[in-house]
Amino acid sequence: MIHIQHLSKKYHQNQVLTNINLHLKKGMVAGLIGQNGTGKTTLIKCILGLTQFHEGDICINGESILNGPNYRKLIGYMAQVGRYPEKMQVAQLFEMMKQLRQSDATDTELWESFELHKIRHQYLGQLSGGTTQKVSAALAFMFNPEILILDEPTAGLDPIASEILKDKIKKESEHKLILITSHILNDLDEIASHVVFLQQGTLLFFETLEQLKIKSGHQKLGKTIAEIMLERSAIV
Amino acid sequence: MMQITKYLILNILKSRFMAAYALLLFLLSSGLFMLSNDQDKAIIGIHNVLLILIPLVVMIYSVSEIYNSTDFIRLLLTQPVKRKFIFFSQFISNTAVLLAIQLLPIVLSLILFSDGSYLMAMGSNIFFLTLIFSSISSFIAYKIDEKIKGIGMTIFLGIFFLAIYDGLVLLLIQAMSEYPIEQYGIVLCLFNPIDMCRILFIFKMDISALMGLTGAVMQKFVGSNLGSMIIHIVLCFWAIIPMSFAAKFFIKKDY
Repeated sequence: MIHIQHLSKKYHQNQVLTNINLHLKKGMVAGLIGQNGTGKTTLIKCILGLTQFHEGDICINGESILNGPNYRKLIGYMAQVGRYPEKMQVAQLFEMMKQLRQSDATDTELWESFELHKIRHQYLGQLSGGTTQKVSAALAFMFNPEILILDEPTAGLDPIASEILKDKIKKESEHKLILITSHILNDLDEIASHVVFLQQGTLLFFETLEQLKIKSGHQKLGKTIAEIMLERSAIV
Repeated sequence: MMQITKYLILNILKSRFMAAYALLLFLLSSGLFMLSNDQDKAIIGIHNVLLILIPLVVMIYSVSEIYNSTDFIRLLLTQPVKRKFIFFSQFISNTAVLLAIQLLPIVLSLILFSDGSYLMAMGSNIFFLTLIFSSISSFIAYKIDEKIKGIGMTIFLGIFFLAIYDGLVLLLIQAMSEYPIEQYGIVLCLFNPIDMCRILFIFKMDISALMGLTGAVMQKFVGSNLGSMIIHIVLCFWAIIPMSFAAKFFIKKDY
């Protein structure tokens, strides 16, 4: 589904991503892990077309994303911090997105589970951080996209909402590709099938969660990743 | 594109700032009519206030709006829509709302308190000033990533066009007072959209006769069809050129 080839990206003089090669397929829930400033968000932004890259290419279903914005119909994106126009109502936001995508809402499960219909006439500027995240999550899943890109999806959500979202991700993972960045490794341990580990802009490894746990001898992803990070910092 | 523009316009129209600004403009212009017995004096007063208010308000509001909506624009950019459509949606919504909010109260007070003879001239200047300074602010906001720097640059440019530029021109004219440089004054005005709007308006009124030789030369230029056309074309360039650069920066920008 997403095929990243020799991707490199510079911000001014800083090399943020170096020669990333990655092939993500349907059915995977890939957890994108790395320390702060290792290029996780930049990689996501490159896939979404928010940031232009200097070398390499990203193909989605065999077609380069440089050919135009139509590929974004296949993607649902949930930002780490959703900030919307203050005086726009929740219902207006969803209506606008339906018109932009020229599509009806086909997956309203999160809309209903989060009970967003109760706040449909509220202004987005009046919502709490957690409720805004619920809106972002519902919006990402709303058009039943084949690819979901979720940037810190559970951060800011209450435990109930967090569980609802994780259950939804697990449910959708069979027939979709889901790419998640998260520092909450316990969450990733529950939902991820693969781990993509970035370090200083390079891809350190891309493996299944099972392989990783077998190699490290730990049952918890948190311990495994902490050990790898410590090892790498000792080498550096 | 129209869908985004519609919802962005609705969002801006609901802001309290816009309602307060429209009310202020109406009270200000109506107040000047009520205080002055002479309609022309009141209109010149309103026009002078607008020449200061519009550039500053349009620039600061537009720049702040663009910076504040960065996260929402980022979300829109993840949708299957071309970047240029998102740029024009944001530009049109900001400019159209500012234009309406400034035009309506001024036009209303002119209809209520004057014979309406300067309606077109005033409306035309409000249109050009709003469009030009909205273009310049888009140019700054998409070029400069840091909000503080962008707003600082906006305020500086506003003050530059309002005061510094005219000061420099006056110094130059004073230094060259022994030479016949009146016609060059016109050329210097073309580099400042506020000056162009000012002379377009002033030379429609009788007071231009009080402005000496420079006034006479300008009256001859602006009064002619060619002169008026040149000024309007240059005003269009002042709107189109910064807007084109703003669009270019937006399309290439890393969000």
